[in-house]
Amino acid sequence: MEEKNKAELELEFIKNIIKDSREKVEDSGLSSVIWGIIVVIGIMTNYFSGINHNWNYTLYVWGFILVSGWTYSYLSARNVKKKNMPETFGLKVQNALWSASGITMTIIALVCTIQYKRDISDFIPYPYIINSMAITPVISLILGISYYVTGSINDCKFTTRLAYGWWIGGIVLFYMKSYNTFPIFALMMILFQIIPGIKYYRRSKLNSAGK
Amino acid sequence: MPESEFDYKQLDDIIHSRIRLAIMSVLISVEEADFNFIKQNVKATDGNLSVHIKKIETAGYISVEKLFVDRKPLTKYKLTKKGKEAFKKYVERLERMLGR
Repeated sequence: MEEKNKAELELEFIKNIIKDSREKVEDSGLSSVIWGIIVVIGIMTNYFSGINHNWNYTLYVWGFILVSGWTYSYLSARNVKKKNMPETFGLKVQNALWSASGITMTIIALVCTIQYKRDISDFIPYPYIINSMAITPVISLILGISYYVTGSINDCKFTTRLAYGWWIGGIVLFYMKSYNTFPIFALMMILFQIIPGIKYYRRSKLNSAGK
Repeated sequence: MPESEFDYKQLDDIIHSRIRLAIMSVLISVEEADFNFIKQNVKATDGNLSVHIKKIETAGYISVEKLFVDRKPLTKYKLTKKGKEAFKKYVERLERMLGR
């Protein structure tokens, strides 16, 4: 019986060490919060540009916030590299996934915003390959993929459920034909990215403090 | 279940030590780790950790890579295939002891 207890304790010990080590290399969630805020600012700029029929400064705002966001991501990746923090295979896949989807979403946001400006100025005849109103639903679907894969890699049901939120929201946005898609998308960003990001960040701070 | 199945002598001697088991568990959870990361998770002194790492390395369970990052020496440790198999066997044996 005593031997059995020892075996049980040993397995528990292994489990705890693995859990602690993984938690130390997990993403803190801060980048989700920062990128979420960036997108909310950009998308609300699009909204106000749309309702005021003035797209003169929209691209500059997007340019500024995207450069800031990518600079933050670059510095943050460099910091992790400097600390020689180990990586799990899952984290590698996750980082690659978010970089790839981030680049895709940046391209979509820029291309569609340029198109909005052109729609108003009538420089180029309409329609184009991608409808301007597709900016928010397409980004929602991409976020759905990223959240689903991230949730599956980390075996986290909460993150996987966020993907369903993005996909359902994406379907709703596809059927909307007004500038209201922007504040709705901003709300989704707050609910499905910024708030969960804050939750992950707080948990990661507690873990690193050893609580 | 026969009494012999609870025999601890069946367990791998190299892994069957608190610190060495912790080192192996850290390295199974990440792809590779430096000395400080292992120390932080194992909570052992430098000297003690070095001795145990050497023992696991001699058994061929981990590989060691010494390099320089920003002109500072850095030692990275990684589980070898043999090490991964030994760890897997160790855990399986423990589970068998518990009748899982």
